[in-house]
This record gives sequence, C-alpha cells and structure tokens, in this order.
Amino acid sequence: MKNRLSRRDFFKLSGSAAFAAAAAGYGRQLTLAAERLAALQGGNAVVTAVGTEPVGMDVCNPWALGTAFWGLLGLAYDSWWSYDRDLNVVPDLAESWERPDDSTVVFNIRQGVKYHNSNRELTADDVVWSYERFINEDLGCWSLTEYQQHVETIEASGTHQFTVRLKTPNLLLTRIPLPMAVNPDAYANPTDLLMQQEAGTGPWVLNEWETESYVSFVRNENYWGAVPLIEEFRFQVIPEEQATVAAMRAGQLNFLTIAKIDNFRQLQNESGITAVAGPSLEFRRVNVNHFSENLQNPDVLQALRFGINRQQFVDTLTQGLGQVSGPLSPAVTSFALPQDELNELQAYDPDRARSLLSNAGYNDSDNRLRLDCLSIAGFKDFNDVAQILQANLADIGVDIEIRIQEVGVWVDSRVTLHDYDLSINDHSSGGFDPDFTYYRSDQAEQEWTGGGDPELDSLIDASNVEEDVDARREILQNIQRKLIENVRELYLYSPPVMEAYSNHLVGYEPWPGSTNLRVFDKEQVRIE
Amino acid sequence: MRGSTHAFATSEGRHTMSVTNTEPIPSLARRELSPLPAQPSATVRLLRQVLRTRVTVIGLAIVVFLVILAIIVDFLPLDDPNVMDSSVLRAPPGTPGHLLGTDAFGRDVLSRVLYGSRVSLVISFAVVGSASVIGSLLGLLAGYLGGAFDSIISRIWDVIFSFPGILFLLVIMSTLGAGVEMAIVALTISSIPIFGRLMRERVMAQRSRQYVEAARCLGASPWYIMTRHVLPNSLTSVLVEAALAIPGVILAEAALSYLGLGVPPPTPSWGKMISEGQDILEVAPWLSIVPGFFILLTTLGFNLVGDGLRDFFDPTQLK
Amino acid sequence: MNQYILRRLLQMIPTVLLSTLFVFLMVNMVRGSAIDIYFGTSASRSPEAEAALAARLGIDKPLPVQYLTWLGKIMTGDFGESWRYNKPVLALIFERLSLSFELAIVASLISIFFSTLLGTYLALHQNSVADQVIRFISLIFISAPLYWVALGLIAFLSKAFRWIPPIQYVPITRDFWTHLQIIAIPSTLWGILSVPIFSRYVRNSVLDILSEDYVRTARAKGLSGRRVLFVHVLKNAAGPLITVVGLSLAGAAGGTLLMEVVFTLPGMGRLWLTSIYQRDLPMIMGISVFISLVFVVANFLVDLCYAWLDPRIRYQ
Repeated sequence: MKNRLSRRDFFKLSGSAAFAAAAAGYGRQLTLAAERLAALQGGNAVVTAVGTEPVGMDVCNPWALGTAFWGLLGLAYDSWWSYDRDLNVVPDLAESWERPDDSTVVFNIRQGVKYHNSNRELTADDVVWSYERFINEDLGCWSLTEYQQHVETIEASGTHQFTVRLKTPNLLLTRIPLPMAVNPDAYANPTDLLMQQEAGTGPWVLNEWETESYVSFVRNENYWGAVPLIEEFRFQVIPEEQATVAAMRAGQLNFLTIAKIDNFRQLQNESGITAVAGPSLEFRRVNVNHFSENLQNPDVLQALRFGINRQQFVDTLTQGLGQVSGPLSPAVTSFALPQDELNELQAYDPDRARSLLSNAGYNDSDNRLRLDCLSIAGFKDFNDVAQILQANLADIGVDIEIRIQEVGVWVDSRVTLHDYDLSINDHSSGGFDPDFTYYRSDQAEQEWTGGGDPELDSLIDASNVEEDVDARREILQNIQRKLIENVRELYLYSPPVMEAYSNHLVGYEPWPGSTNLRVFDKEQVRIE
Repeated sequence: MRGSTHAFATSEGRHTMSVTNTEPIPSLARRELSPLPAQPSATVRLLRQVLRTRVTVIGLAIVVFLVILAIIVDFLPLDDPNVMDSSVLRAPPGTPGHLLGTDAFGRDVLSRVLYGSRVSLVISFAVVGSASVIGSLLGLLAGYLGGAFDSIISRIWDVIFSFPGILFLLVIMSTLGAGVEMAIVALTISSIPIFGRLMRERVMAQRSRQYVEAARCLGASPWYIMTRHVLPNSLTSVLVEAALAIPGVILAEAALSYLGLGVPPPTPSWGKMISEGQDILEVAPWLSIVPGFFILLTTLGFNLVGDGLRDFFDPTQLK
Repeated sequence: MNQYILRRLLQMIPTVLLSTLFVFLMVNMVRGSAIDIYFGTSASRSPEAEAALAARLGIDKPLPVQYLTWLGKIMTGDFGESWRYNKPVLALIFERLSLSFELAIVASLISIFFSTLLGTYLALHQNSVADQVIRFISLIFISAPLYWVALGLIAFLSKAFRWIPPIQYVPITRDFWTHLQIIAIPSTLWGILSVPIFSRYVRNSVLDILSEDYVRTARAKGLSGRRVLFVHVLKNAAGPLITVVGLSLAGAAGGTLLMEVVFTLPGMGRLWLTSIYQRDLPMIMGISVFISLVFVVANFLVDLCYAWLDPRIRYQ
C-alpha cells in the first residue's frame, strides 16, 4: 500500500515541481524580455542580422561570396572617395586629387589619420604597401586583373601623397582601382589574411567576433570624421529570414535588410517599425552558356529573348515593387535604357518566339527544345526565378530542366565544366555609376560563358574613359542595346531594396539603390 | 506454449491411468477420443481479426484510397499542376476555378497536392521497400551468423548511420545529378541501417531462445532455422517499422526541400509544398495546411495498418 | 563483462577510422573544390593563383598522401586550422559540441520520461478509448515537420508575446537564466515531438513482455500489478527504447542541424554544413572524427545497457 502511494505521489510531486519551475522560469523570461526591450531601445546599439556569417574581414579576401562581407568592410575601412545623396563624388579619406596629365592621378591623403588600436598614422608608404599586396599573384586578390589591366604603378610622392600611373589614359575616377588603407603592422607577412581582425581607419572598430553567432563593432572615438553617436554595431548571424522577422517584432533587432517580399509585408504591418522599399541597383539575369551545343543557333537565342514574360517576375516575386530590367538596373536613371525602349527590345512576343524556334527546327509538340537551367540551393529567390522561367518557356515549346546545385558545385559548373545551358544569376552595378558592371570578352567572367565580341569590348573600353556625361550615356546605352540584341545574357528584373528599421533609430533614411551602413555614422543617426 | 504444457500433462496422465487401472474412466476416454473442433484457415482468421478491429480497416481504406488516387490522378479533370496564372496569386480556397486556392506562383493547389501524392508515395514506397528488404536481409545474416560478417556489416552501418544524410545527397546529387531517382537512392542508403539494426537486435534476441536451440539440436541447418523460425518472429518489428517509416521518408524529403536539395522543381511533392508555404504561413496558411493534411492522412493510414499487422502477428496480445 | 567491454572498445577504433576515410573520399568526390569556393566567380582567377593556393592548403598532393598526412597529425592531437576561420579546429569544435550535446540530452530526457509514461499507460490500457485518442494526437505530432512547427512557434511567440528566445547565444557558464531560455524551447520541442515514436516502442515492447511466461508467473504468485510492472516488465521492455534513444543521442553531434538552423543556435550541425559548403577540409575531417566518436561511444553505451539487462547477450 505504502509503496504504491509513494510512487504515485512521487510522480505527481515531480510533475508539479517541474511545472512550477517552468512557469516561474517563463514568468521571469517575460520580465527579462521587457527589460531587454527597454535596454535595446535605451541601449546604444544597432543590431542587425545577416543570413550567413561574413567570411572574414580581409580587404583582399577572395572568400568573398557574400554581400555581408562588403557591408562590414565598409564599417572598418575608409574609402578614398564616396558619394553623397545627390550622387556626386565627394572626398573621403583622400582630401583632394589632381590629374596632371591623362595617365596620372595624384591623391592627397588627410593628415593625422590614425589606425585602430594603434598610434601609427596613415602615410603614403602604407598605401604603396597595400597596393603591392593587392597585386601579389600568390595572394590572388579579387581585383588583381583590374590592376593588371589599368594600372601601371602606384608610388608615394610625399608622406601624404601618392601617385597612380595608369595604363589606360583618361580612366574615370570611379574606374580606378585603389588599394584600401591597411595598417602594415597588423600583418606578419603580406600574404597573410586578416580574417577576424581588422587594421583600418574607419568609424567602427571590430570588437568581438563569435563564430557563427555574431560580429560586433564599437565606435572609433578617435575617428578623423564624424564620430558615430551610436556606441555599438552588431551583426547577428541568423540563417532563417523568418526568424529575423520574429526577432524584429520582439525588439531584439532594430535594423534589417530583407530579401523576401513576404517577410517585408509582415514588417510593414508592425507598429513601431518602418519598412521601406525602393529601387535597387541589383538585377536578376540568366547566364547563357554560349559554348553549349543547344545554343549555337541564333534563332534559338532570339526565341529565348522574346519568349520571356519579364513582367510576370515583377508581379509574382516582387508584388509590383520591383521593375523589369535590362543589363543595367532601371534605378541607375542616368545611364539605363529608357523603359519604353527596354520594353521594345525585350518585348514578350510568344508568337515570334515560336516561329523563331520552328525556323531552328523545333516545334511545340514532338520536337520541343530541351535546355537545362542551373540555380543555387538556398540562395535568395533564385529557385523561384527558375520556376517562373520554366513556366514561361514551356509556353513557347521549350522544356527547361532545373538543376539546383550547391554553391561549390555551381561554381565548378560555371567556371570549369560548362556543362549547362542557362543559369540564374544576379548582378549589381557597384554604385550609381556602372563602373564595374560590364566584362570584356577576355575577362574571366565572360571567358567562361563566351558570347563576347570585339565591338562590345571597344565600347566598354570607351565607356571607361569618356568624361562627358551625355556622350558616356550614349556609349553605355549602346552597350546595353548590344547586350540585349546579341543575347549575351537574358536580363529579367530588378527586385526592390527592402529595409525595416525600428522607430527608435532617429535620423535614419534609406540610401538610394542599396543598403548603405555608413549612413549611421555619416548622418549621425541616434537611438532614442 | 499454453498448448504444449497441456499436452504434456494429458499424456502423463494417460500413462499413469493405463498402468494403475485397466478400465479407462469414461470422461477421460471421451475427451481423448472426441476430435478437436475444426480450426478455420489462417486467411479466415486474419480477415476476421482485421474486420474485428475497425480502425485497421479504416487505415487500410485510407492507404488504398491514396494509392488509387496516385494512380488515377492523370485521368482526373485537374488543372496542370505547373501552369502559373499570375492573375490569381495566393488565392484562398473557394476562388472560382481553384477549389483549394493557388500558391505564390498562381498554380492550382488541388492539382498540385494530388499530383504530389504520386511523388511522395512513390519515393516513400521505393525507399522503405528497398531499405527494409535489403536491411532486413543484411540484419538477419548479421544477427544470426555473427562473427566477422556481423562486425563488418555493423561497422559499415555505423559509418553510414552516423552521418547526416546531407553529405550523402551532396555527393550523389553532384556526381550523378539531382532528381527523384537520386533522392530515392540516397534516402534508401541512409535508411538501410535502421532496418538492419532492428532486424539484428530481434534476431540476436531470438537466437538464444529455447526453440532455436531445440531446432539446432534436432539437426536443422542454420538457413532453415533462420528462415522458418527466426525470421517470422522478427518480421513483426520490421513490418511495423516499415509502416511507420513511410511517413518519415515523406517528412525527410520535406526537410531536404527545405534545405534546397529535394525533388527538383516544378514537380510538386507534399514536403516541397509545405516548405514553399512556410514563408507565407500568415498570409496563405492553406498552402501548408493542405499538404500537411495529406501527410497526416497518410501517417494515420500507415500507422493503423502497421498496428493491425502487429496485432495479427501477435494474437497473444489481444484480450 | 570486462572482456566484453574491452572488445567493444577495441572495435570502436576501426569504425572511427573508417568514417574519416569515408568522409574524406566523399568530400573529394563532390564537385567543386576549396579553390572554387575561394575564388568563386571572381575575375582574378588565374592558374598561378590557383596553384599557389593549392600549395598553401596542401591539396596539390595526391589523395592518399593527403589523408595519411592528416591521419598522422591527428594521432599527435593536431587537428589543424580551419581554412575558413583560420582558427584551430579543435577549439571551434569544442565550443559547439557542448551545445549540441546539451540539446540532445535534455531532449532525450524529456522524451524518455514522457514516452515511458505514455507507452506504459497505452500498453496497459490497450484498445481503450484513451488509447485511440492519444494515438490520434500522436499521429498529428509525428506528421508535422519539426522545422515547420518550430518556425510557427517562433512566429506565434513573436506576435502574441513580443518575445522570442534570445538570438544571441550565451553559454551556460556565463548566464544561466538566459542560457536556459535559449535552449528550453528547442530541446522541449524536440523531446516532445519524439514522444509519439518512442512511446510506441515502449508500448510494443511492454506488450511483448506482458505476454511472457514469467510475467504471468509473477502475477500468479500474487505480486501486485504495479510491482510486476516496475520490477519485471519495464526493465526488460527497456531494450528497444534504449536503442532508439541511444541512436538519437548518437546523432547528437551533427543531427541537431534543423533545430540549429531554425533557432539560430551555434551548434555542430551548422558548423558541419557550412564547412561542407565551403569545402573546409580540416574542419570537415575534424568534425567527422567527433561525429563518429560520439556515435560509436553512444552505441557502446547502448550495447552495454543491453548486456547489463540481458546476460544472454554477454556471452556471445
């Protein structure tokens, strides 16, 4: 008897004890949560999320397959010049510059700029050191070929002055590759990579880096420019975008760049949060593998060009917030083809597409063209883009097989094996100047897919040196026309930039075209 | 077991009786001589048992219904599951022309979920079928023969089993290409150890039972013992496990789709539909609920069938 | 018994080695190498730079040489440095191993507790109304994909309570309460969602045992039902449950992946996956050693339990 009761009682007791503990725990949690909410609002930090951990902070780091990397880099390292909101070029780390002749540019460095955690002052010798590191072939810096193509040499012409001699005369300022100012003391050997450290001069200093968890910066109290009003900038690594939405609601994040339209919509409806969408510099495109047997017939390429309903992408994937795009995002209003011409060049004309295909010997019923299309697993909405493409082309008699590949495999396919017909991709013109957007036929990106031609190359070269804005626009628009007409690639649409930020971030205004984290220090955003 | 004890007692009693008393007691004689009532055949017994348990019938009905559905789906008057209609994005159920609504691309949910049954069922049947057969065979051999064979096989299983299936799929999909076939191969390989181990445990437990010893004493060959004695007794667990594993494979395929490695688009599978619907749970919950309901139905059906099978094979548990 | 233990311990070593060889081969079979990841589709890819990188990483040597070199190093405890993080592999692994374990252990404990209760109850009350109802509810549990439920839960919490578990991970030593908040939901969810499956095993094996002769004998002797249950039945019915729980613990080192992705926990699963995507060979090999070690040790413990529970097995 006694046995039985005590066992049952034991269970009951332990059960209720557990329940009580849990209840107490959760009660405490709710209080803590409220405290934390207050803390974040009262606390002086921007907390945002990134989907994959930034690979490293080395300015030369070729492991740079993620946009988060660039955002972080810009916080800790200054650039020589930058844009203001009216898209004028303004001096930044470089006080001024002159062009004594066509092939020379002389930069004057600001005086008294100190590196983080050091008393060492930035001098021209450091710039040369950095340049030599950039062109070191063993290191394989991402911009190596840019230097090889355009730059003869970079020399120190004074303690605070360095001279760039160009191979290409009259190269536009925005096209000149310039090494970033790094502190040579931080490197044991120039071929080392500073992954989770930095040696810059920027407004934020790297503070903590917890692998796969978060990266934190604190403000540079000795910054030569406007010291940020905010004390900390933290990047939480959160792979699942839905979780970031929940975190915004719970007050654990106060700034977010969003990739999926649905998550954006959810945050639009939240009180205390402002969600803004704007035109983006980024656009989606489809790589065409010109080496593929299936794509040798120009009629086939033209059929693809006219057989895609680009508006459907905008409607389905961006709910109207995006725009149809050509080889330059329509956000680049000064240089992009006007919308009506774009719509003519990229008209959706299924009948014409079908007749082109039948010229090539295919038809709707028993001889449908079969192509494959690559997509990267788990990367933005590439898979969705692929599915819409597939549905579109099915209408004109083309059967697309979608091959979703993991990123390493995709790189291998694109660079080495060339065993595909089409691939979803995206691109961003670096800034509102389409400086690094187009590739010559002999540049790596274009070498892998073929389809380049000398006429296009000479146009690209011309666009790099033309100073007159109108003339340059003419050249760039010709480039775009040729790219579309020759079907070098298939251009689809430009998704919007979507940001959400807490109303406690006072003074934050989204930057046009992309997310610019420098707004927080340059425009003295504060937290209330 | 019950019967054997009884028989032993009777024969002993009989022996005693005939020695001490030449005249048999009438009641005893009658008991000896009257024949046992006729036993119905095994099939009849099964049917009776099955029908007795209504739930099993329900389960069976569900499974049969789903299988037939998957087969006849081509002949049903459904929209093309892959056609996108951008004028009706995320339409709720009840929209004219779309009984269960449409998804984020404007594709009809009803036809996608019905076509999806084919993919999900084919994959799960294929995977569980092959894995259970191969695994059980290996497990039987490993468990009974023991020794070096057992060590090697167990080792290989351990190696396969200890790794998350992702690595498998990466290799297979990149070297041999993605697709339904490859997903089946990869999932099968990952599932074999489950059945193998289970079978091995059961066989090892049976191996030491008295009836096996007895059979060996009587001179039966290992193969005979394995197939006639050990296997039938170990099969229950495997069958139950197989029935339970089917919904598990469907969900595994869903997880793969979530990580971007599942059935290639645009083929619908239930798992894929749930993954796709996940982002817009608040805006369009039917996109996840509908395939989720079908998975639930399948799970229910197979579980009931599994239990029914179990009850059939082990009548000692029915009261 | 000691001999049995020793034998099992010795058998562990080849398994671990075989695993590492297996992983090594698989990773090298996958298309796309560390060099592809390193350069991506960047325009600066040149044969010289590729060769220099290959030399620096040590992947220009033939495969057997690479494997044996690695093997030699780990014998001395040198697991090398991660290519991606430039930090020692062991340090990165240990940071995460404890979290994965914690999740798995807490989830297993919750799971074992509730499954045993539920399974035994179902076995004793077979075919009753409660049995059917609970079975039905369990089915719903089984049918829902774990990640889906988890994401739904997070979304619900954030909308209803404006609260989610803290996204910034804090180890148990730093702040117990915050740490508890972080792991409470994932491990509970995981534990509870396993209950239907585990309780089924308990139920089945309890039913098996209940029909055994010795149970009937015990009851005939006059022992109370409860005593019979605890002393005789459960001990013997524990077998399959131990196997299953053991297996789930065995998969702890890498198997917590989905939970980690959804709840943004820095565990082994995500590290594993990222390392694979990045073809970070030292990291992948190091993690695989640990995954198989954990697996093998867990299995060993399971077998030990079996041998303890069933002496017949010991002498084979």
